[in-house]
Amino acid sequence: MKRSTDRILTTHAGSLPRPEGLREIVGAKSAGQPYDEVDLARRLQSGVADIVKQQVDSGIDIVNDGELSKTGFSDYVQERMGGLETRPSRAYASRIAGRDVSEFPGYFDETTGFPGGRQRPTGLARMLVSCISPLSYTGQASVQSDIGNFKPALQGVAVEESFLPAIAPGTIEHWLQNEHYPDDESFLFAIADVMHEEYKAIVDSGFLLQIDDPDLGDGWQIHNNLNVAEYRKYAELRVDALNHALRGLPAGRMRLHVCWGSYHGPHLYDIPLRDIVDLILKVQVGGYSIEASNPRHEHEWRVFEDVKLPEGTVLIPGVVGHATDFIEHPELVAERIVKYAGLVGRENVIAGTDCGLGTRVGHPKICWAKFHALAEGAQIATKQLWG
Amino acid sequence: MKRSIDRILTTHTGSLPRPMDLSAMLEEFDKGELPDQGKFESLVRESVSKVVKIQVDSGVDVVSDGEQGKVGYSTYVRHRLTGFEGEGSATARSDWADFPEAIARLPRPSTVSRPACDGPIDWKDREAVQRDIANFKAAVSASPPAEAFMTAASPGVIAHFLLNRYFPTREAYLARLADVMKEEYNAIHQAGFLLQVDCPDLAMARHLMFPEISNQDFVKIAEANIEVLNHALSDIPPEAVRMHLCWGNYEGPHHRDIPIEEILGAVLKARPQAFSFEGANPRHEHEWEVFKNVKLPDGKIIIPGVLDSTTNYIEHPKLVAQRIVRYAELVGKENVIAGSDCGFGTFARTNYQVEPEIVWAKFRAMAEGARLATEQLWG
Repeated sequence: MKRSTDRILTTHAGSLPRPEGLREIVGAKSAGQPYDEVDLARRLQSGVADIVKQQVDSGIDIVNDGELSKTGFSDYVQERMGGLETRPSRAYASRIAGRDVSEFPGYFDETTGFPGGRQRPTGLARMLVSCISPLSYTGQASVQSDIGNFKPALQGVAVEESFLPAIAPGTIEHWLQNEHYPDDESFLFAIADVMHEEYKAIVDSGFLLQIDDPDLGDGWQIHNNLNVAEYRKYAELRVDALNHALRGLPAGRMRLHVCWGSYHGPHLYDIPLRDIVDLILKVQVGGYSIEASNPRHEHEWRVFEDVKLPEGTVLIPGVVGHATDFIEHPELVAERIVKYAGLVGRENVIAGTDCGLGTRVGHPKICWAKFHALAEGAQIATKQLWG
Repeated sequence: MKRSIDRILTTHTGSLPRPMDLSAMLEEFDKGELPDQGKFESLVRESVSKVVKIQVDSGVDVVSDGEQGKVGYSTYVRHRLTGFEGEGSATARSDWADFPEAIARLPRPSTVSRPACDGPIDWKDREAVQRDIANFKAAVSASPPAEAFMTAASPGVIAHFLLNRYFPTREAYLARLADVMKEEYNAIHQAGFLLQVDCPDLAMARHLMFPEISNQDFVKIAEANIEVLNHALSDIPPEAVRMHLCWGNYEGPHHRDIPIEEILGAVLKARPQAFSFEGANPRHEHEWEVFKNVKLPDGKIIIPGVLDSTTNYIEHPKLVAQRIVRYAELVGKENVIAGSDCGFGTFARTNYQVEPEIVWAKFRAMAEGARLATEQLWG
């Protein structure tokens, strides 16, 4: 994995705005409804090429495929796993604002736990998905198709590096009920074995692998009855399962993304980074992407005053974010980068985003404008740090 | 005006959410369709009393009446003054204009009307400010705060929202507004409250009203507005007045906002002892650095926003403290009061940018942050 050897590199957390019409077809495919296979393949190919170009034009050094083939960053693996059964349900699987909801009943919709009337709940919440028999990975063709769309898109464009995201076992648990395995541990490790195949396919293709693991941050609000010690135990098991899924893969070719749920809302009861940072850093990867710019987590740069990054790894703090349509001022971006560089070393900081901007900012153009601000801020920081 | 002598004081910009039923009634009032004046007035009185108590309970030191009886912080004057019957027009936002496809997705704009000035300006409801004062006095005697302030629109911001179609020149329009508004300013001062004059025109008007001219030419306009404002405030000692400037209280790109650096020289010529400005949102947060180069004149107080008034995220108290301490180290701790970027109820409406219950939680975070900053700064 490249690091910021002679300038601050830029990247982002993964999901990007979908081109017009694509989300509907991807949704139809996922729901088992009729769709035009040739049309989808054509749209994905050109869509991924366009979105790579868009990232490059906006100053992003380490780019991805925008997750265009996926319904969502997590539920996409429903189509890539055997052993599942999906049943319509009125219940909602998990509430990622589970501790905030009861304190702010005017803001959150009581049934869904989502911000009422402001953001639509994600589709996955309307179905209950259960594991009813041994899990298996059935997604080889899908992941190869992602790889196949991404490779040609990178031809003839100048990027430093490229990554493909995949979801972590702990986050899959958010929507997958266990009705087969005897306990949490065997269930989690079975998910880990399944996901290992996807992770390996991505690493083998030569792309960086990004593991998306909001669970480490937002599991705390979902499991709102646990105290910190109990939660750490919960999280540690998920970290162990993730490391099991990453076994044998080169840490230097993988990075981890952790967040506290990208919904806009109070986030009053988010677990402090300090309470879980050692667990995050136990994940055997070469880079760690964390939220660092929204008003609930911006102050946490100071955690790195006394927490050391594992040798050889990089930190990817969010210096622009999904939380607002304000375009961060490049001077603010630079200020944020320089603070981290001062603590962990300039070569160990890559400038990133808090979370995926794809579905969370008001318009695709806001996303690109934020990337421009990110790139400009990285340039300013580079000048300050390298002189 | 109290300052942060032995601890960091907290305040905010002034406007706060109105209860749903009052918001609905204010919208009717704005349309000239208020069926029950008596019910309206008692609802306003009750809301002011509640909103003062909730501020005190949430740890706000310098409280306001939340502008409960006003349709909006600037356009309310048209209900109190003659001469505003002309057809108005809303100003375009030049930053959003750079994102034309995004405009369609914007939330419903406020329905508060913005008529143009089409006749001589004079008072038609001198009692309105006296009702505000009476409501606020009753509320603060029931829930006593450290200090209390009441807001009023500056001539410049009135001219921004209510266009001139009557006076021969902009200067003449502003001069008349100043002469008339002076009465309201004096009334608030004589009632014993701090006066806050709201002056978004000094920053926001750059990209909303004068996108075509240079920054330099805009600063001349801002300076002229300040001269008029100083005239309107001439009867009131500077230490009894604070002013608020901002770049428009909306969640949007804001990439065309004029840097505070460009207008600060003009702002420091204004008569009020204290000025409040945005310091928390991602377009202006970095501007604390300006005070590395600009020396705050003796006696002045700054009220930087440490809460973003456009997001439902609740600022972490430690972030609030970090923000306060940065300013305190540059201008002196006794010259900083913690505030909010802008109001939480700029216009009366039934759906606010920030949910009311989240506003109060933000205030509690600010109070906690001020306490943490106080510990660091006073040791």
